Amino acid sequence: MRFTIEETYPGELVEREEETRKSLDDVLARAVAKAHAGAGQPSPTRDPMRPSRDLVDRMGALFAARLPRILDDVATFLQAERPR
Amino acid sequence: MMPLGPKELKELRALVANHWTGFLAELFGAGALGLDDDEIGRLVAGGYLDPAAALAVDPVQDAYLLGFYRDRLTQAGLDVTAAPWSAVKAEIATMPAPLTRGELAAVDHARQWAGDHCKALGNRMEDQILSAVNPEDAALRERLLGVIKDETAQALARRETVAHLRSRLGELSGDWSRDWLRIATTEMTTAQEYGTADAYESQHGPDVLYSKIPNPDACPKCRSAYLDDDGRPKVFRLADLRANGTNVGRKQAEWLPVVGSHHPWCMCRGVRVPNGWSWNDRMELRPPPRGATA
Repeated sequence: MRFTIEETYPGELVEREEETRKSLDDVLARAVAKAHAGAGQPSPTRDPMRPSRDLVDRMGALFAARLPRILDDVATFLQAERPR
Repeated sequence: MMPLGPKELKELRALVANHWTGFLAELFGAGALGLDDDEIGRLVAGGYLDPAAALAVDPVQDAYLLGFYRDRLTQAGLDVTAAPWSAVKAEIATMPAPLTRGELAAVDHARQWAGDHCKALGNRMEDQILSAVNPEDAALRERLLGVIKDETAQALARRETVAHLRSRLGELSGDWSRDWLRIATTEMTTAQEYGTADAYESQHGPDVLYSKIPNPDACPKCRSAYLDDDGRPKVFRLADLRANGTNVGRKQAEWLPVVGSHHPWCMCRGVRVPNGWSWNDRMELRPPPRGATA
């Protein structure tokens, strides 16, 4: 007789599901934080003109807003149920 | 996640491409990307392009205007080294002279130029996402073969594959953010420099004398291109810099002094040199000595 993992280790399954979910959230949060950090970093631009820096920062912020949407859509696509 | 076939991989690539095209269209305009009405409609319907967002920003035009009006803003008493962009924009709105047809065409060209350069990052994102998916997908196939009748184990394998992939994409996204910052800085500088050059040309003609001032921590390439052996800015005719075109696509050894960015991350600034004036050791423009003819 063969048991499924769910029957054999029900606690472990729940734990692993939670870990996976937590790790997904962490990864997304880190990606967004990185993108925002890139957007707000004054040092790489070194531009003495404040308005120029503002324009570059705004471009960075727009990218930081779009990136999680791309990652989310990719993840949703990968997880979509498809006929076998 | 199921193992993906060629059709799904193609769809995945299209998904990233649609996002990127929509994003660039919001930034630079659909015209700059050469999108037709059908493509625009498809991107809007898919949620990749927000027409309201497209109307809200025009970074290339903003950068061009900042360069174009830089001297006039300074003359109006605004400190363009310290004022936030919002204050600069408000001041520009009060400036009487609108852009000529030629200058508007220059803005259009700069948008198209920036759009073209940003496409490459989208292509890289597509390639890297597909490169991340392919080995995970192959590994998943192997794992599923091993637990073919156990649906829970299959579900776990699929979830873990997605988690690995998201982790990998999270790592890649840091590189993409840095690439984007480099592109944004370079393209904003280029648009701004063309704005400055066009403003000088409209007032003083194509042969106006021109220097480019590197930042104190500029790279040796910029210092060599724009400073003489004594560390003073070289003086060019603007027309000659324009004739040199752009260094994009050239090998480093072939780089020439140009109007726009000398290289990625370059932030050298163009300034007009009045006839007869010269640079001193402190990188200040000095008038001709009394009695000298310009």
